[in-house]
Amino acid sequence: MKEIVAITPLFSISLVLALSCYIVLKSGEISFGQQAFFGAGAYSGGILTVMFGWPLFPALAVSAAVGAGAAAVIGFSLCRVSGFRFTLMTLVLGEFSKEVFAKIEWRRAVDGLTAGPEGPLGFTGIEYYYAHGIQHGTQALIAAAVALVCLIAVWLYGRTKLGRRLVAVAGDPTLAASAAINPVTTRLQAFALAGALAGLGGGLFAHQATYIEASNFSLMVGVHAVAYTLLGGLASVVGPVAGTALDIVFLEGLRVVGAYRMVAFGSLIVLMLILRPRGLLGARAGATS
Amino acid sequence: MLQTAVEGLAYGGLYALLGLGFFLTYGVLRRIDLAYGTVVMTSVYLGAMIAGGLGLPWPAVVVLTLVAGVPLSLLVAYIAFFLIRQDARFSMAATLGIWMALEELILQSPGRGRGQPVSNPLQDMSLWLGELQLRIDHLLIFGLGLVIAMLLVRFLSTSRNGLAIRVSAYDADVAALLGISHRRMMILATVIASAVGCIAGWSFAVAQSGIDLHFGMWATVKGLVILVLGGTQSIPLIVTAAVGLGIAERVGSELIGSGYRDLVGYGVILLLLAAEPFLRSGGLRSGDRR
Repeated sequence: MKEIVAITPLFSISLVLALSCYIVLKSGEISFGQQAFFGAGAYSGGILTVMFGWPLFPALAVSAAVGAGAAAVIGFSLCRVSGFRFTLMTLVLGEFSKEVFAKIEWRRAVDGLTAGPEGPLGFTGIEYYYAHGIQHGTQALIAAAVALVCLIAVWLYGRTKLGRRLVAVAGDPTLAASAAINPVTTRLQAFALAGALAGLGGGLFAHQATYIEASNFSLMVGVHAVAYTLLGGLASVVGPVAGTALDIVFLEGLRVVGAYRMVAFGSLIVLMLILRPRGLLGARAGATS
Repeated sequence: MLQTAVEGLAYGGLYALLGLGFFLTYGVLRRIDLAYGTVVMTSVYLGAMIAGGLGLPWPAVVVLTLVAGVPLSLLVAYIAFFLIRQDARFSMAATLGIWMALEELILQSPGRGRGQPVSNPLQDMSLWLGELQLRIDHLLIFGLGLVIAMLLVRFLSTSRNGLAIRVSAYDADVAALLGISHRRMMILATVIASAVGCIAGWSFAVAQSGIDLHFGMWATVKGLVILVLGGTQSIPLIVTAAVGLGIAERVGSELIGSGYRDLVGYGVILLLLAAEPFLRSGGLRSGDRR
């Protein structure tokens, strides 16, 4: 039980970020830059609860909104390109935002002490849980509940008109356009939703970790989230869940391979792409081809 | 200002070499190798570590780098581009898996991922043009970029193998009808690209007096950016884009402050990439994924 409580927040947060990548992958593109929106959500959520005394859930809502807004702004240009140019732009976006996070410096007096992000020194004391006496079990419950809501939201999104349009655009943009679906708008909506999820996950992460810094939002984070989805498969939302569980439970939780975790994880991705390119759970339905 | 621009030239030469590596592999294989910079970094790292451990002189680093780099690149191409063929995006994802594994292996190597010193035979040698300081090693990197670019142009436009590579890049089926083995051309392009990359990585390490883990992804991003800005058609355009970016980055960070160097560097690239779909000209078409 203790282990489950310990691993649930990490699993839930990773899952929310993986779901964000799942939506982008559904649109037929690979983004290695979702950690940018994750970081934006983490900083904005932390700033609101620590510096302005906001309650957790409104702050998380703003985190999601900031993620969505940032995604919509960059998406204005990003959703007009595809293939490796899309991926490259997200890669550069990720590295750029990491540099930006290292420059965020905003101190404000709260209860006689100064609080807030300190540039390269990071952002300490995001102690909402501690200050409100929220125990580990409740923290795990909050994280799991948020992840579940996101999971259901993404599942529902796939069943709406918007989700179906997205699959059509991913399959063939020209064909979709001839059926009066605007590919750019459709992908922009999906990308904003993905940004919202990443921002929400980031807000959760900031409060769970109590300390964040720029290196928390490195390329490795974004790549992992994409890899979870690729491992699990794109056929349904169960894919990201399975992929996240595989890494968090086996490689991180049980420490099967010790220090060589990244070697094992990297090789696993390559092996999966060779042997089962549709992912663990994607053998029957080709979601994007 | 002029001084900074001159320093930018050295980076331009380096970017040109990295861009040429992507130009060759993307041209022939139509695949993006996100592990390219990391393979180069790994080879230079191993070369520097072994040569440093055995106390060998600096030419040994170049040789060891090439000995490690070329087979490693062939292995990456075999796994990511030959075994995984059906979708270019899957190939790209596989190269990222390789990137992760290689970086971790370097962290677990005897060097423990710490920066490895690379000796610079031309340290502290400079030419002075009035007020302007020209570091010899920087000039050499720039010259190396130009010379290798010119050699590649000659090779691709006059030699038998070069022409075969171009046919292969143009259309694999036509190449097959002409009796050119596409697979052989893929191997040839990979070997040349990795050799060019290794030389770029080594010369950068020399100018910086060392190599560390960060070089890998940094080099990949810069090379890809040059490919996007310079397009996939002409080597002179690639070199022009590389020199332009090198100078723009240096001058930009000089104007804003050296603490913001990476921020400005990535910011400039992000702006260029973001503006590109609206300006779309000579570069790649968006449908190039296939």
